[in-house]
Amino acid sequence: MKVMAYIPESSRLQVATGAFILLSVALLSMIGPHLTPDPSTQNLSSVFADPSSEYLLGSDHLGRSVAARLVRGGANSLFNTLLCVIGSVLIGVFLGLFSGWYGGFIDATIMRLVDITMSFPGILLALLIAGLIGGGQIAVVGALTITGWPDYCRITRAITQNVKSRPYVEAGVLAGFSGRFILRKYIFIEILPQIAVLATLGFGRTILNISSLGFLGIGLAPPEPEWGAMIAESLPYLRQSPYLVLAPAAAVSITVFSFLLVGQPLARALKK
Amino acid sequence: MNEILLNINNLSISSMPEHKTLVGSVSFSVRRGEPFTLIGETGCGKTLIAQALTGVLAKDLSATGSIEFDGPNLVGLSGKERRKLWGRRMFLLPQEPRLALNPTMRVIKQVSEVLRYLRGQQPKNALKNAGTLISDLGMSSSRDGRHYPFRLSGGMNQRILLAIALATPAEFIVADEPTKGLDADLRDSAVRLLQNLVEQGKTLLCITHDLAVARDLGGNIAVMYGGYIVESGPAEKVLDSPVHPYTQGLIKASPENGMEPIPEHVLSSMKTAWNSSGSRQMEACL
Amino acid sequence: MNSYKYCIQAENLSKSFCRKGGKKRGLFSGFSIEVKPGEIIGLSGPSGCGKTTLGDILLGLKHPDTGKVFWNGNGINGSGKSSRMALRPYFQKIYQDPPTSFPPHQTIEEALTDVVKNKYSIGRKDIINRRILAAIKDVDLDKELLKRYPRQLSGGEIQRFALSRVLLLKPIFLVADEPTSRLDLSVQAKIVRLLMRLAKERRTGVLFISHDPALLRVACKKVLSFGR
Repeated sequence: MKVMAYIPESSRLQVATGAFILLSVALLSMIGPHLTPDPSTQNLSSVFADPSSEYLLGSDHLGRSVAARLVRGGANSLFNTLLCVIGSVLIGVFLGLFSGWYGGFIDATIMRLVDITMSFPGILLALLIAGLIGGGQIAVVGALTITGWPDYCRITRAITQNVKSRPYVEAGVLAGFSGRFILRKYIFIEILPQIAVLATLGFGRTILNISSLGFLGIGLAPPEPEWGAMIAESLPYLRQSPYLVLAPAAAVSITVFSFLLVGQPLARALKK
Repeated sequence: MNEILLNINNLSISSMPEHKTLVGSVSFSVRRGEPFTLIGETGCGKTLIAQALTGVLAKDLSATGSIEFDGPNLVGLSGKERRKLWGRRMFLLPQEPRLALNPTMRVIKQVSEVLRYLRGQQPKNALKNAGTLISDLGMSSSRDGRHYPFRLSGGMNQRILLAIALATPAEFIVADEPTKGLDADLRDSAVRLLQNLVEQGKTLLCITHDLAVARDLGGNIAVMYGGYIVESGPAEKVLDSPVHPYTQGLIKASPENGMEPIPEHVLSSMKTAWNSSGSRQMEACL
Repeated sequence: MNSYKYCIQAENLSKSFCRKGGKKRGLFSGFSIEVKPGEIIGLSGPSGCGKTTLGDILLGLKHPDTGKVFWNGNGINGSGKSSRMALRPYFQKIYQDPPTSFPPHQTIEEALTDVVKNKYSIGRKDIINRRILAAIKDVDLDKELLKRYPRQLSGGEIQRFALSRVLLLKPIFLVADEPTSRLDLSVQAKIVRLLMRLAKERRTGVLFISHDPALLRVACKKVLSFGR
């Protein structure tokens, strides 16, 4: 584990715990849906069932298996989050490299774009887009990608500008290296660890955002489960069967918390 | 002849787990009210000696021998006891003036602060006296003094640090590479400022790689190489008629004297001499 | 051997920069220079007077406000874009701060390999190695040091590796921007002697920038001093 060497000894246990939980969540989301019954099958004869061998975590107001919905919802949420983060990182790093390397007019344009985007709260923009094109996976992922890239763009630009001013980069230019070669060999290598850490923290934030949107009813089309939507659906029955709300809420919290467990020591280590 | 203020005897510094000797049994003494220059190139151990003296050696280094400062031995002194010396009896003039000053405080305040807390002056008086100290060093206390360190040039910041040194009751000043990164003109004015300190009755230990600084300051010098003093004595004598081949080589390597690289056999012969002889101190030529 | 009289000529260069508030401050104006192959020309002056900027203009890294720079060599001369492109790798620079002259995450060998690969478009490891070994022999360095990272080398060693990187490119003209101001006296003497020898042997024109007039008097026949 080369990464572990960078983390101070005092926070290694923390990172390992976070990573273990995240791996478990990911594994459950991947293989869980194959082991549990169909999450959309209703069974109106056994609504609000207590946990049993048939319904591992009981059933909801339509008699659907909560366990099945939880793992399937996790798979959906994590997959959408992954799409958002990958999209944001790609856009952000690409524009950041451009901005930092070329400077001048290109830089000014991209940075104004960053300013404009950052002045919108992500959720608000997502609501707007959903209002325009009507929700669904594409709206959510698109909106959160569009609002997520500026962070990556700014850090990439800052590092690019810093590295660009170092003598060895100029020596590379004088030796006839192409811009692409320098970006790849000298600059990208410095950006990668920073972006990796930022993306880890970004994962946590994005899951929270996706769940919030799901809670507000913007997200996947109804029968398809999602953590945020599950909370919203079960909210009226909070008194009667609180675990219907608590289970997905706990899933969101634990996942976000684990991302922080992993990400924060890494971010701190990088700052030194 | 003035009395001896600092007496370093058989000071050795080694790295802890490996027991690698970085400074090997160095001895020299500094007389009260006189400048003393420790001269040597990168890695010769001169900065380590200053660190041992001020008590800021890295944790994995250990010092043996004795550093007698006006009597008591400083080696192995506790932090609390050292604090009684810092600023009150000895003062370290740091390498980077700009980094050593507080960026969020006007420089005149930083000088007056020392007068208030170390000399017990009233705030108003302290500010006035700080202004006098600053203007004595050729700056305007009303204009330059009201600036923050980042508004002043490196040379001006250095003057402020000197004003602080003069404001403290400390009689012993350690200057670590006071001319690093300065060009010829600035270097000369920095040396004049150091001379000014000596004229004011302070004792100066200057650590430098610059032969010209040593010559201009006068007093005694010691030339270091590889953790040992190779030659020491009055500045003019050592620099004008050096006896040790390393000192000769060092002087010839300066651009004014033809810039001949130090012959490889001189360096290698010194290393073999140290490795074979039990007492590794080279003969000091006084 | 050389069909050109001067490796670089510049006429009537001037440069100024904008300070805060839109005021323009002139760095220099009407500056002309000619450097013959094998000649070391010194450039002295106080810090902040535009010595480095002048070097960058001669190397085409910055544009002058007025004036022209002519690069000559290999049968090409002039200031046009195509001759610039062809001559680009022959106009080189060594830097003031040794640790930053090489990328921190590559060994010196990897960095030099990149240079050879890019310049001569050869991929064969043994040919590349032979060239690198020849270049570091010229600067009196041991090949064991090639395996190290820049932070594991002393300032003098890195500066000599920087010289060997430049030699691999067979330079026509070299700007040495305060190459020894952060080095010890004895190391400085070594580097400057090396630079003088190589300039003579390789017929490379050198602009030696330094704030130390004594140093320039030893290293150069001709010294231009640069005031404000």
